[in-house]
Amino acid sequence: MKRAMFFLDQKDMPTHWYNIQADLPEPLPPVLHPGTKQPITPDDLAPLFPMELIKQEVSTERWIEIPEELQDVYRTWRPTVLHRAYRLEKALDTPAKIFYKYEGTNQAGSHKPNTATAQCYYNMKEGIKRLTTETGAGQWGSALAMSGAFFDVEIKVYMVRISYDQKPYRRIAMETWGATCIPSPSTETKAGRDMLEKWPDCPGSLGLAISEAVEECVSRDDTHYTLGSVLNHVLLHQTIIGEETRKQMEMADAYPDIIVGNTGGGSNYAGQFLPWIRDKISGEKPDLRIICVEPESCPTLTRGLYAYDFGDAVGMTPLLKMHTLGHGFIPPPVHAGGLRYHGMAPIICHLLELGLVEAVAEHQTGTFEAGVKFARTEGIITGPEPCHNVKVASDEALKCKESGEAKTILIAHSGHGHFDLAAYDKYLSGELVDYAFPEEDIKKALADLPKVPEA
Amino acid sequence: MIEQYDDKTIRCPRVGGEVNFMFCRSENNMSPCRWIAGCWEMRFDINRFLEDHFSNGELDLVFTPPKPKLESLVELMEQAQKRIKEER
Repeated sequence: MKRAMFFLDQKDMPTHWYNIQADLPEPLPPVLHPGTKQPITPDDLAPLFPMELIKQEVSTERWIEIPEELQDVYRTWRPTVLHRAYRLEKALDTPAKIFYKYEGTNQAGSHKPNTATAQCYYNMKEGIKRLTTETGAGQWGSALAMSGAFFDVEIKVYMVRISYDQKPYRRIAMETWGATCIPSPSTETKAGRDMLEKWPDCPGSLGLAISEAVEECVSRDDTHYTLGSVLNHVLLHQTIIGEETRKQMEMADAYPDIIVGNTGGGSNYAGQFLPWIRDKISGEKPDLRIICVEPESCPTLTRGLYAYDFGDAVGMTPLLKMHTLGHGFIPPPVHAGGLRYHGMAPIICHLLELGLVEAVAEHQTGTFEAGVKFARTEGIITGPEPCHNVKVASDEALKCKESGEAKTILIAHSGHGHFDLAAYDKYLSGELVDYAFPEEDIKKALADLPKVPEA
Repeated sequence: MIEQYDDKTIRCPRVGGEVNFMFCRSENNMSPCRWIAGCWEMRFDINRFLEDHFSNGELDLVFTPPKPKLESLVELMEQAQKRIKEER
């Protein structure tokens, strides 16, 4: 019998999150207060987050215990299954062994509840009755709505209006779990009202939705704010994924040569790879490859790195100058560079800078092609973002076919695409087209950048 | 005409769904999204579009590298407190 699923008993579910900050070869740079330029203190963050999460944000303890009450909630869907993708391997005709850890089987359909429940729990423990947040397509809002129901915390979600209008099912899901979901801009905050006054038909934006959620948070003593990606404590909560996988890979008598995951805010993939990267940092598994995959159209890590380092070396002003049209071209790598510290988790950026992870970018049609193959072999209709990992994992498996190597490839699979079928429809009807910067344009843009001395 | 490409659509990796160009050129407090060049470069001459409709100063603001998330949250919080105080 070929074993295709590796189940971890609920009694063996990890009881601690792994904190990479304990093992980083170099610590993360401190975050500075925008006004004082001094490192941000717990008091600065207290209006937004409960103290326990603030402590986790800066903790350097290697292991942080998952509270019993939260473990009980985790056990409503965890441990999730580790799959061996035999059917995909066969379709690719590869000697590679492909595993995937699938986070789409929980009630909200993605990895997000791993931190949403934790954040609700700690807020509830500190007497907070209400939480606000923003959501784009609604994945995070859904996870938080469900978590609020579990811990009896009222949830208010500001959903970017363009998504609110396009994705009614997400809103209905949130409301079914008991949350309030309103389109942003709204009339409920000054930020929203100001925008509506200027532009009544404003389709909203993530930035505005965050402003509204934060404004409501600071206007009430019983309310805190939550965020579903990027921050250190969010990544910490996700490490239960990788800790489970380590045990399951042991059951499969396997150890990954390559781990592949998509990085948007980075939280799902970090949750998978951080528990493995300690083996690389310790020197036990120096050859372990950790591949971060991102969309070719928004290359935060792959093409942003150079530019940000450039900017870092000389300060802000030259970097700002390069963004002007007076320079003759808006260099895409530069424009993407700043995003590393906005859309991407600082921990992932830091690991990339240290050379411990690598990054690649993929075109969208290739990722959907891989997603369709995955659906037709493994059965799962993968979300558009994790389709990127399936694509890169498939490519690595095909390289194994050429080389004859039976490498072990582990995919971090963050969830299903049941609310994204319109994107599949576009792919299947041939409407999706790839766009990417010609390499020559990038070279030209980079060549045009002013020369700066080495730092 | 600033609306000339408004009906073109694209999947926005930030929002996680389909958006039209009007969203991209205005989502940043009525200014373009800072990802706009990356997302649209191959669809049409986005640099020309930006040059035609925004000043260098406006684009400098758009493409200023953003602050780290925690720092920007503290800033948003302080701006919100100020707004609330002003309204009272």
